[in-house]
This record gives sequence, structure tokens and C-alpha cells, in this order.
Amino acid sequence: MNVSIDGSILSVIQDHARTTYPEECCGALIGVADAGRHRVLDAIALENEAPTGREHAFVISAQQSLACSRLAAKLGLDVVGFYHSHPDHSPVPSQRDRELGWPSYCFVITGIDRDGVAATRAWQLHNDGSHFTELSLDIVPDAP
Amino acid sequence: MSPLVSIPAPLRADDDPARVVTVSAETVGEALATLARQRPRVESYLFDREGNLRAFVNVFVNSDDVRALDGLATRVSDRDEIVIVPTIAGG
Repeated sequence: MNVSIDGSILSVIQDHARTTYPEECCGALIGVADAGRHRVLDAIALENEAPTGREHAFVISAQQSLACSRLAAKLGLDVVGFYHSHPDHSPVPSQRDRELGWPSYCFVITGIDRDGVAATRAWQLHNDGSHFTELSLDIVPDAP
Repeated sequence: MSPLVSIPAPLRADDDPARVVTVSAETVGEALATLARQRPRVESYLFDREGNLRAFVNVFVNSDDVRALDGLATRVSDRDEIVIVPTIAGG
């Protein structure tokens, strides 16, 4: 299982994490999912609607999720996953990520520190919700 | 009635990747029950053990959240689209 993503889209995600630091950023990943392979073709930055504690929590509301679903359908694509950041923490799913995530989507997490140094990894929640499996994150070089 | 149901990628069957299907149903609950019979993955994703929608599952009829209507008893017509989307959260 893997996630492929253009370098320019990954840069947008990491820049979003820098912009919202020390709070978490979040967004949706639009693309194609097929037999465990996720091809991300766009990243949609969303508002973190966690009412409090956005340094360590994020919420993507039903209305934002609906808008992303409609946008993806209009493009003939799917919402294949979501991204968020972990300010001052590693890009490894938290207990809260496990409790509140949906299986089958890819979850792209960016760890970001105060110097703006980012590390991004991709994960998928097991069908029974018990644990995440890391996905290979394949970065597609941008066309010259 | 034959409303459309838009199915998010995680709930599609591996051998039936249709994004939108038509089901025969009078209410949202009937439509989702029909979907669950056709796609075994759907039931555990959408419903808890008491048969209620899970907290992070949202069902819209067109642009209206069914929790603001009559829930699973919300009636549907041929022109309606039922859309299932998650609330995603974490930390």
C-alpha cells in the first residue's frame, strides 16, 4: 500500500503546517484510490474547527467534509484521505487519531517544529480500528 | 421512491466501486439498510450496536443534515441525493 503525491502538493501541506503553527492544520486529499494505492492529485486546506486546544487537536466538520466530497465528485475524483499536523511532535498517529479516524482513508501527518522543519509520513487505520499501518509515501517530482 | 446514494470511497465494495447508486427506499434509514445489505462493510461503519448512526458519521439529504430533520426516519423522494460523509478529527 502506498500514497503517491506531487512534490508541489506536499509543499503546500507542509507550508500549511508552518502557517498554523503552533496550532494543528488540517485538510482533505483529493485523488484516486484503487486496491490500496492512493494517488493524491490535490490538497484542500480546511479550517481546524476544534473548539479548543488546537495545539493538539483538529476537527473537520461534516459541512466541510460534504463540500470536499462534492468538489471531488465534480472533478470525477474522490476524497482519498485527510492531512493534519503535529506541532512539536512526530508525524505518528496519536491515540486520538486512532479513536476518531476512519479506516481506508490515508492520513498524511506532518510533524512541524518551531524552526519550521517538517517531516511528513502517511498512515492507514486498520479496518477494526485497532492500529495504524504506515504507508509508503512516494513523492512524485514536479515536471520541469 | 428511488433516491440516489453517494457512497464515500471507504464504504465501496472492492468488486463494486460505484460512487453513486440508486436504492428503493421511503426513508433515509431504509436506504442505508439496503446499502448495508449490499455492502457488508457499510453497517459496521455507519451504525453502533443499537442501530444508531455513529457520532462521526453524517448523512445529508441534498444539503440538509438528517440530524436536523427526522434522522433516519427522514423521508426521501426520487429527486433526493443521500450523501454519507465523515466528520474527521484527531490530534
